[in-house]
Amino acid sequence: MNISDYAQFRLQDFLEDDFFVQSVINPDENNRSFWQSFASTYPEKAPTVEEAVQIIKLYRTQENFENEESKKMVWQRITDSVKQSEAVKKKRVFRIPVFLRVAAAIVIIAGAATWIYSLYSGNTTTICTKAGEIKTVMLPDHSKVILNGNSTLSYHRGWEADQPREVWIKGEGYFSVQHLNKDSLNIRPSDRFIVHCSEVNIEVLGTTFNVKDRDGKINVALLTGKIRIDNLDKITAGKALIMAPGDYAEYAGKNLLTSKKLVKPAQIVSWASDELSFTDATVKEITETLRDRYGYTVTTGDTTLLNLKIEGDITVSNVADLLDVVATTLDLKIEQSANKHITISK
Amino acid sequence: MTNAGDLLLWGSFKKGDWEAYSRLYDSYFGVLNNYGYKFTREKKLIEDAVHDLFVRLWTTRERLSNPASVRNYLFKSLRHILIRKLKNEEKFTDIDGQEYPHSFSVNYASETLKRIEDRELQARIKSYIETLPPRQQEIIYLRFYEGLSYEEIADIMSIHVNSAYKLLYKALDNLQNTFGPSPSLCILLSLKLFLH
Repeated sequence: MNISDYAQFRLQDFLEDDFFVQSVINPDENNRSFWQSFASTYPEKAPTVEEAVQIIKLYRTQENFENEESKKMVWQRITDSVKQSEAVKKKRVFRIPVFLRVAAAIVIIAGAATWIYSLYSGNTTTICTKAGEIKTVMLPDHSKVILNGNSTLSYHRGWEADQPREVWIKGEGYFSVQHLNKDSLNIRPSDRFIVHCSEVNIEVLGTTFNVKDRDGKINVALLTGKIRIDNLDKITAGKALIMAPGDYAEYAGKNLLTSKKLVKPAQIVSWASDELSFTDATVKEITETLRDRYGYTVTTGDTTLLNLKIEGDITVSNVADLLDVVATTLDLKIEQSANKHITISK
Repeated sequence: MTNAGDLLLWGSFKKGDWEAYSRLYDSYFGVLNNYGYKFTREKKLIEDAVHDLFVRLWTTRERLSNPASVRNYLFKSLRHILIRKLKNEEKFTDIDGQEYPHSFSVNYASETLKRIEDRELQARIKSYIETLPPRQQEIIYLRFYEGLSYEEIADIMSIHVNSAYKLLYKALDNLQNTFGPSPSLCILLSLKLFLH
């Protein structure tokens, strides 16, 4: 923060500035002395600063409505409602299995039917990518999938209006699904879009998200919209996961390992642009990315090296820069041979 | 109320700790009512919204994620519930289906101001802000009263961060014409600088 940054500020510029507003609301030694030296360096600006301070202060002179007298009463109502809803829940438990058993049977039969149909109908389009190759696939409904290296995407050629849109994926893809549904109370079959992975199904209406199904792990990161993940194995337990933007979920086989909020959701799809971007990455994650995106093979003298971590953010535009960062921050020797082979050692 | 402390409470509440849940209620009841009061003066409606919010928190606690800020999460949820309630109330009168069916207004406390200049300036601020559309009045409140960042405001109002910047920019756009430093202030200030 430089004093000169503020030399040209008008009244509203001060009011739009984060540092200024925080200085007025939460004054401390630091920001007070900053503004004092600003006022003495630019005395002609001093009245504007003072007025901006006054505007914030006087705006903040407001009546507070804390509603203290109702606090106890509202809490009592909440407690009653919670008790009531928990009683209802207990009752329901006995009805669920019957309903779910029927639902599960239908899902299994429908699943098997679709699978057999897809085997024999022969009208499936399949797109594969080699290591290091990225392809953009336009689906019949104009939804877009950016397919990462070493991945396969397949779908039926003609999409019927009375059928959900369905694709099958192995590897990694970044989906931008067209939102067709216009009335959320009336969802037509073709409004649904289902991504089949090895162990889970992802169901959406219209969103952008990233799916990675590799090495026995499936991870899903949602950028916009809302999606539901149905675990194929536990469908009888009814454990669907609903995700909101920024959410990240990881499955190992059929089990949900982690679900968390991503600090930088956009980073997970950095592979779809030219950037290489990581946050708190381990050497293992970096080598996996090199393998999947660029087709490198990596050997390490000592496998414990894979667990070393680089704290913070890395954003670079090419592999050479990335290897440079890894070598210098972790003090490792990295050798690259001609046939896309990398050796990491101490 | 620190955010880190809130998140600890939030974590225990999600595991079914009733004590943590009731402490969240204790610390947020006041500020939530205060925020709700800007949308409607109907006390009962605000209380209903707070009730609905907390009941839903408890019954869905296992599915809740860990928000970046508990305060932000609660503000956003309350706002959503309250606006829906206000919409429902107006169902039969509102025919043009406006996106923002509510008003937003604050009550200024002028009696506590001793200096006459302050009262005058506050009156000018008041008349300036009252000409703005409700959404702009709301962002001014979140920004200058609650002291929130653009990112937090965007989250609460369910808009893009860029739109939050634009919205505040619009709200303050005419400020220069309405205000501009008054001479008395200049004199006051130069005196102040002399003393330092």
